[in-house]
Amino acid sequence: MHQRLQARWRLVGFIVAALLNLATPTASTAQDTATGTVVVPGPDPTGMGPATLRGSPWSIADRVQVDLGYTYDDNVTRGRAADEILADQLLGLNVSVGGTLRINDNTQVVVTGMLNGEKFKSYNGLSNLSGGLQAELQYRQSAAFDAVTFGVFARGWLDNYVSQLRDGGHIALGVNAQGALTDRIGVYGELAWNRRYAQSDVWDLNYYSARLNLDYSLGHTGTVYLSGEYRRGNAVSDGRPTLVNVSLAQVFVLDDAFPGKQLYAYRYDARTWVGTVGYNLPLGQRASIDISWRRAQGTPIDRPDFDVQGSLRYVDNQYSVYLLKAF
Amino acid sequence: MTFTRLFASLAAAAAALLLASCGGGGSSGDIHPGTDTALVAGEPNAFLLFPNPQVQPDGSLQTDSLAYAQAYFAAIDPNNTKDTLAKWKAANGFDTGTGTQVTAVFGDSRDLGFGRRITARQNPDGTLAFFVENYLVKTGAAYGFSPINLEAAIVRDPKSLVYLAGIEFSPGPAGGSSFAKFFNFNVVTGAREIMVDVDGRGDKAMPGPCLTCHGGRADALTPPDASGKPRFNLLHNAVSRARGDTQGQLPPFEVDGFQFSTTPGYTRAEQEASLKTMNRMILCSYPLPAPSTFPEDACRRPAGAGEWQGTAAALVKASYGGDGLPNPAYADVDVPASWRAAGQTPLYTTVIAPACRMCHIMRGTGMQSDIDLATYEKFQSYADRTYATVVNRGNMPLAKLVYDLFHASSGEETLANFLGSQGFAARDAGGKPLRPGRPIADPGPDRVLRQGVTRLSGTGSLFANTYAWSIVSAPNGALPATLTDANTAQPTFNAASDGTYLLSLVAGNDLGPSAPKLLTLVVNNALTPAPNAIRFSDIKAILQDGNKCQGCHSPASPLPAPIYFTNEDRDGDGAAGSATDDAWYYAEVRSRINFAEIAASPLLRKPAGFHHRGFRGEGFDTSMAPGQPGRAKYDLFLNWVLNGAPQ
Repeated sequence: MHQRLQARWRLVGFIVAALLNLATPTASTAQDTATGTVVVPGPDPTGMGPATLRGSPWSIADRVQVDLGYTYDDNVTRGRAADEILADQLLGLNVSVGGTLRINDNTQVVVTGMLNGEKFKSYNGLSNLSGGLQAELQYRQSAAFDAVTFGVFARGWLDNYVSQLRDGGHIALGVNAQGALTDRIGVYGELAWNRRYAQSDVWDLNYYSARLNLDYSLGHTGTVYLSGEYRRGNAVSDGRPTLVNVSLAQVFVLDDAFPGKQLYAYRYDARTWVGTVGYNLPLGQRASIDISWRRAQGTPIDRPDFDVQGSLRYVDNQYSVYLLKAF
Repeated sequence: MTFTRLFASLAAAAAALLLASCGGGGSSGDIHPGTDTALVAGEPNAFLLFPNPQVQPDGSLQTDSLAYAQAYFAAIDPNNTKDTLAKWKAANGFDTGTGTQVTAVFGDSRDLGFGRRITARQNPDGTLAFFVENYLVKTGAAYGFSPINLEAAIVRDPKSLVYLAGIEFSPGPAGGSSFAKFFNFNVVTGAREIMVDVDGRGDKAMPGPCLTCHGGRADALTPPDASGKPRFNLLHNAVSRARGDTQGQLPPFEVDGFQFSTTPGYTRAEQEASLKTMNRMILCSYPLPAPSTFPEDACRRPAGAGEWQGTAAALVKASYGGDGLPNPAYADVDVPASWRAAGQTPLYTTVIAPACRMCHIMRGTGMQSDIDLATYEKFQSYADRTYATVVNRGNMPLAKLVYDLFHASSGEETLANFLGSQGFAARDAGGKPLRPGRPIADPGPDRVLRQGVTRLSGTGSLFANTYAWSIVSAPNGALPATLTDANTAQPTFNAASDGTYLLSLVAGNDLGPSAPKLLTLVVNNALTPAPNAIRFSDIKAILQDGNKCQGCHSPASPLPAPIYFTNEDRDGDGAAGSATDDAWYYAEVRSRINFAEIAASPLLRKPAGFHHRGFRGEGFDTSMAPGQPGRAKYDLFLNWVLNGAPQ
């Protein structure tokens, strides 16, 4: 019984973490470019647990998780040129509360409410408080170890930034699938359509994303995970009002998150790759320390009609350490 | 059931989130590249138009019409040998390895705001050609120069290339003296454009947007010739004697007013030599009023007595150290002596040099050159027109960027001080300089008329959409006069008794009412001819009365004026003075009427002694009240004009 509960918890935790991982509006969400997540990795996904849930069909607030952490971001502007790149540090706090509705032996709905906050050290305009709700309909064909769980999800967020231009919200619709390859390796994949709305058209974004996550369990010593994500669609960078940037831009605005810097945020179409390497170290049954390195690079889809010296690609690195605590 | 409720709740929550998350549709600071500058309703918008745009009876502006542009190109290129960029460049010898050819790239921060890449060449036969690529990165932001326009010119960004201009200085189709011709070409097809939008404020007909600052005139077209098409006007003071020679000139490059890049190869220092070469070429296009032994003048032809006297040559020379052009780099000239002597150095440095000089120095004739504003006294003599155009009408400075820069500069204060010293109310009640855009009532000029019904017109009022007329006073013992439609632009006035009536017009717009403007109407039922019976023959009779006008305005004059008042073979059919010639004559005289601002018409101002080489015609004394014998001819001209100048 205890093992089943533990496995169930791991399953739910993995799903929540995976969704959190996508939804957490952190430093990168401020720009909404590639680096969508600072931390909150996917813990050990190997114990997928049974699809069937026992007892009451409604389990309200059956999981609560609090994450608290620190991130160093070497390019919060997603800048391309040296004089456009600014680094910063931030503290993040994420709280999630989830509930589950069992529909039948194979299907359930997972509902999660989340509240996230970020406080940036140097560029307070990026600091934000965001709250949202997500719902996912999950289906698992059987309780077999190698059975795949499929999901369809929707989520919506309200974002409040110190930078007023970014205030607004975003929604996402998508599908996912998760399963275990071996007793140590779990895999999670997701396809999503993302739409963001903001006070400034610069952050009115529309993009598609595809994500693949691999977790490798080290047993009691933790989990190593790798994640890769590809985004195609609108992205935002900050830069000087140069011909190159204006040529790339669909819309731009003097960014109120970097006062005195004369940086303009501009929206453009990009191909963005995000890679994450992390290690999750358990601290007892319901807590862990998570260390991760995320690297994102975004490349404009369209090029100016003139020769451009240097690369049009931006590169961003985020180094994070988070404490994860479940209740 | 639980399941249904759950999803209903989720759907409602999602909808609420979706609605709540909408950000509001863009902030006011958003800038969308590629969008044109939005025009602001009610603000002045007569930029790059001639002050006299040749208003036609239907209200259209002839100088801004397709027919005007077509007539221009028919005059300078009747066989369409230069109707594409490729043909034009070939005709002017570009990239042939002959002659001299240089290129410069700079930011035109004080004129039209473009990044400009100019390639200039001087052919072995002395003809000149300037090919100008104009780059503008459209951001939809406030109109103005941006350094990224210069960047675009450096990298030759095709998306930012907004128009291609070609200016050549060469003989006309029939040969003869060279004169400046202006072309624009489509950036995609290379086809010659007859309409062009150079300031984001809509298409305007060629060559108007060029000529307004290049010194060219905007005389009306002739009536249709035998082919059924009107011809471009012939200016009789032009040495070329070619239609299409508008007396437009090539302005010198005021290098100090440009912006340059720090990109290697495009710095100012690296381009000074090319720019000096260009200025030296331009100097060659200026007529030489007196013999010179300096080598830079060897390429200049002697000036005709009636044409522009090459006034700008002094500026070019002074900017390079004087005769001989000894200095390698351009440096703006010192304040001219007349301005210093008058204690008007700030007026010159903050108003004239940045906002007036470059266009005005291209203007003037051998007969009369006050308009070049070369001295303080000349500028002072134009104080009334400066007040009218800069403070009231907003059509000067005539380019939007220069206009904006002027009103944002200390020059606005300096000019208000000057105008105040000349007796003009150039400040509001709070002491701030007045700006165009406020309503200004214009009931028309004081006039003499007969008893009965006369239609008045306040359509010359500026920035107005409401009108309130009233009779302020009537002569003692007169029968009552009436005004009908007194709240319209064109009421009717009906006086049954002779005498002097004083009327008032208050115009208004959303900003409020204007100051009242008084109109004096002198009713004289013995006036002959009746105002509505005046025809061109009456005007012609005065113009051809002895040598009063024809002394200068004729082929016999040693100092030819742009227009002849003598009977000539105007249509070129071999016979002078025919009915057709008379129709062409009428068109030329009507061309001297500014229906956009009647009081500013040369046909009225010149004989009244304004900028007319000191001549005031008998019967044109406007210091007298309407109806006085000393201004009877003026009154006749005025009533003809106010009646639409019927033929």
